[in-house]
Amino acid sequence: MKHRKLTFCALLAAIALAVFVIEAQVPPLVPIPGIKLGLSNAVTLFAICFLGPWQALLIVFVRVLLGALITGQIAALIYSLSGALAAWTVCALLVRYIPQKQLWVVSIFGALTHNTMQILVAALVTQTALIFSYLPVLWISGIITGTFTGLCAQLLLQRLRSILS
Amino acid sequence: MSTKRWILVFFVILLFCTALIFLLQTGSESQIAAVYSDGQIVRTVDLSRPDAYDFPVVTQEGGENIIRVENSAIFVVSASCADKLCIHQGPLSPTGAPIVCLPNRLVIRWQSGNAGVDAISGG
Repeated sequence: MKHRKLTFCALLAAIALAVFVIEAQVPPLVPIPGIKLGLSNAVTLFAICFLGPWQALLIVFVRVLLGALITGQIAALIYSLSGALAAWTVCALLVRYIPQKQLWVVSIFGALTHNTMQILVAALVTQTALIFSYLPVLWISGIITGTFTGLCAQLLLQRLRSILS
Repeated sequence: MSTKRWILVFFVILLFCTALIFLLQTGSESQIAAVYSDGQIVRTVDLSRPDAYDFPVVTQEGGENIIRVENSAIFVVSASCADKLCIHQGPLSPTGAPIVCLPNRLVIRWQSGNAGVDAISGG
């Protein structure tokens, strides 16, 4: 990776991590596992578009692994990692087909994938199919938060592109 | 696909999910709560009895949830997990949604079917 890209990648990783840790300090709005704003996903999405999917993947790993260490929520790692990787896969694929001005759509699919994957893992770990009853609530949350984070990434890309060109 | 079309798609999904939330709420006839740790049932509690007591559920890694039975309700009073969501989920509600502590892999739910008396119950 060229030096410039590498440096920017590291910078984005640090930002994603900082956003993640700060967001983790905010007490959950609703006592349902998995409902959060997920702002660091905006960074991931931005990275996929601005740097490339593989650089974004590195950022995802840094954010998830170091984030779990810093917040002390190591038990949540399986849920966090599986959700983030599934979301990355979906987003990295969809950006090839969905134009940048509809990035929020990609973000929603990413959010829905993230939540669904987490529930899947939770159901496997607890051996309880009843956990799937949380899916509708999580999807509603995913659509809302996905739109928000997607718009963040989208607007950032638009402004940054016009500044840098 | 146009932006308007996408908005419609997600709006429909939103409506669908809202409907699902209400449809999935099964009033449970059962008065027996089942406590699962790591997918295995560790305790059944007959909530029609007036007993009041606490009991702990521990995981292999030393994670612990303390569960209280009181006034025909069952809920988590103390947990070793980081987010404590299980405590804020309150008592097991008649609508059927389980109480979960994902980090400690704990699930409290209404017992389904006629599982019989092959588990420990009461105090």
